[in-house]
Amino acid sequence: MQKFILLLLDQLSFLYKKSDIDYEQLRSIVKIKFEINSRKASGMLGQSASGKPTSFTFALVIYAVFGLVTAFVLFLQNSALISYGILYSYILVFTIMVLITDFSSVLLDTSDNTIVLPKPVSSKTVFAARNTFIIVYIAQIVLALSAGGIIITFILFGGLAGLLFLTSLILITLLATNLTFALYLGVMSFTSEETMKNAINYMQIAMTVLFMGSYQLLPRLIDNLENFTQQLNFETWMIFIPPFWYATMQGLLQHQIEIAVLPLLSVVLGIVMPFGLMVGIQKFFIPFFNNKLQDLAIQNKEEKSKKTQTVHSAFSPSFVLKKLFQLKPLEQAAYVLTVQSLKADRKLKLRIYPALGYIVVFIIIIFVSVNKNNENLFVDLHATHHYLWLIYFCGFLLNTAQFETSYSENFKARWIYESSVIQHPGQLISGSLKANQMYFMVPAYVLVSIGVLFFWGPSTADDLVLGFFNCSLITLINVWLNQRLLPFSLPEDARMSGNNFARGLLIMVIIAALCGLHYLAILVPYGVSVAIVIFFASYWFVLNKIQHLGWKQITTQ
Amino acid sequence: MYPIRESVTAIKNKTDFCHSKKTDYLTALIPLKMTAAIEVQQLSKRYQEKILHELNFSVSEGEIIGYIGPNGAGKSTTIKILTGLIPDFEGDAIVAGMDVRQHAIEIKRIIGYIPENAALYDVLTPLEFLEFVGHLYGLEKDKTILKANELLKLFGLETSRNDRMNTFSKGMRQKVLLISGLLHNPKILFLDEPLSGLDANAVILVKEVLQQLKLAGKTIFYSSHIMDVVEKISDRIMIINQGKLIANGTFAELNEQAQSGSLEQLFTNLTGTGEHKEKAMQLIDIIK
Repeated sequence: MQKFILLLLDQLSFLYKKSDIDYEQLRSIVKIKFEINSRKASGMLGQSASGKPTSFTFALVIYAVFGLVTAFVLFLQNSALISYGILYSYILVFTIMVLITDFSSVLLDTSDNTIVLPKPVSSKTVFAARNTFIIVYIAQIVLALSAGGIIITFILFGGLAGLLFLTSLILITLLATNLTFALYLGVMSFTSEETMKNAINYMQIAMTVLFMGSYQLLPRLIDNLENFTQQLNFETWMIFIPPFWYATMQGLLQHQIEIAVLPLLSVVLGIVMPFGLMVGIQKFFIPFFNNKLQDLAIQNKEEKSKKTQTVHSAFSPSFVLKKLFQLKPLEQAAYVLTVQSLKADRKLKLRIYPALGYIVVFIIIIFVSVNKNNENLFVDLHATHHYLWLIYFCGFLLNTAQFETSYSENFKARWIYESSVIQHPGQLISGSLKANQMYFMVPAYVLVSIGVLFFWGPSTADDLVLGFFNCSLITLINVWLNQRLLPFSLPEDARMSGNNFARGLLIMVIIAALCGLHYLAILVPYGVSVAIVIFFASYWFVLNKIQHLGWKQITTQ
Repeated sequence: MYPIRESVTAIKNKTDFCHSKKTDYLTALIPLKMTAAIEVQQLSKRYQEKILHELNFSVSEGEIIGYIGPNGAGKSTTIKILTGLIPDFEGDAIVAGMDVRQHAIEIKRIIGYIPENAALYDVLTPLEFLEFVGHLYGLEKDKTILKANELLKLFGLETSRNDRMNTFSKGMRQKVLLISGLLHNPKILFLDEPLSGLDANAVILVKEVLQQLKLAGKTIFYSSHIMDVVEKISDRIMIINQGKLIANGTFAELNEQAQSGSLEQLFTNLTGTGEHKEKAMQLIDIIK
């Protein structure tokens, strides 16, 4: 495959040479990047259970399956504008998502600056090589995503529509890559590397939520899709949504849209924008880009030290609140370590924060499922106990955070636990658990509580108190039974090598059991108040057990 | 022990044959009359604050310069400017008679740069990496592989040449980096802590290699913390502190001025970090 792509690239060498790029060097850099990438895992699909990198071919097959499922929207033949609009949106969003998750590191890779730029290679060639490498990869992903769409288009709408679809895909690939580049370069022009990396981190989190959320929400929204696809005319708002530029082309070809100024403008934008962005980036950003990367690599050290200072602030709310937990000295050490890592470790954020975003998805699911058959949403919501889902989802959040904070790329630093005089390492676990409660679960729970009180009324206040203890108890029980892991003591890839299914099942059983008991308590008069006392006592009992865990009882995997 | 003489010969002689036409052409661009290999005037660099303050120095062809200073003094920044990696600076920097700002690519063809951090594509094998580097210099593939193999053997890496470098120790990576900097037979070498992580035998080998490269007429700009090596191999020593050049001369000259006895003593005197004994005693008091 690599050889084929390089051969294809050779045919385009004249374009590079025309742009004053050393093609031989570019080819060499692209080739080595392919080789490096083929030996690494695909970011979005992560690593396989065996810990070995997931092959790119396998990732492509998965993308093709996703794409095929989405391409079925084309069978809604009454509106090419809408059905292609949906498909193109899917491809464009997915492509940008892959670019952000998988290629941020490639685009912002300063190793090129230390390895390649000291050699007699111009920054223009280096940037073009990066660009080419990314576009080739993205093109393969787009092709996999669109394979189903291509076949369906050729069969349903004929050869011309198929060719137009293929042309649109090329334009979408260029648009997606150049949009992402422009976004990165624009952000970088007025920010530091740390801010940039943080911004990318939050984008990655948002994308992960969007990706997972869309698979939950789309089937629920599909009922409404049929009405939506009745939309036949070109509307003005479509001119601002890039996927509709290409959908308009299909609409015009299939004579479903009348030839007018706005649809034609839309077509022109679809053709001009990808190339316009490309030229703009080449002309204005590239020389600045590599210099900036070089500068950033040097500035980085200073910023890191500044960041550490802010974490140590003794007047921060979390510092004051941690006093309320009455932490033992060892717990306090684990608490501070966990809070600092939650604030500063981007990889950890990327593993934990999407779970927080799922609350939003969850809320939408509840609303959609209630609203599906009924007219008066608020009255109907009030009559349900759906808030229990929201409350116990926070238990899932805390458990996720507790699990993830056991793993770190700097896991070898666990020597500090082993070389210190620690009688009850369980206190390290309880300290990190309290940090996760304070830093991660409490803010989420406060938000959920506000929502629950607003939609279901003040009568749910006792449920919220009980829910808080139960959510903590869920994680405590899971730690006690299954996850006696010291904070940041295990390598990241070990997360996937264990018995994930069994772990997931156990946590679901615990959540279901406590949620079920809570529900039963609601049905009994004063049941919730009695349950608060019982579960509060249980919480302290299990916490005390964990605090007294000895070395032999700690799981080391 | 490494076969030192053999290694030096390999680098000195066997490198010449694989220059491409492109390299020869660009080498021809260098002015024939050249007394200073490196010339720096009023060189300054600022990020949030000023890192380099109006540096002035020149390095003759065939000279070995020991460039030393405490952490954060500006050594690496100076080297990055001279190697064309930081284009945005104040003052003038001329390497091989060419302005660094205007002729960065041409300069890069005739210099070798070994960076401070062993930056490598570590999922590659050393042989793959060196072949890639050779390609960037426009060297012929077969000859690059042949030479890379010989150099890997001389540095004791022949059995690991097909292993991925992510399994390598710091010293092994540093050796690969050194080879990559020498592969194209550079006229001027910029070495930023080249001995970092190397074992004792490799350190001896590199010292010998540097001496022999000097005999072959190469100019070497050598930045290091290891004082005894700098003292032994350098023709001239420059000490930088807080971005300012505070000493420039042969060891004998500097020693005569400062009456220090050793480079280490001279360094601590000049950089104001000479209270080590007091600090050590303070540390003992604190841990008590």
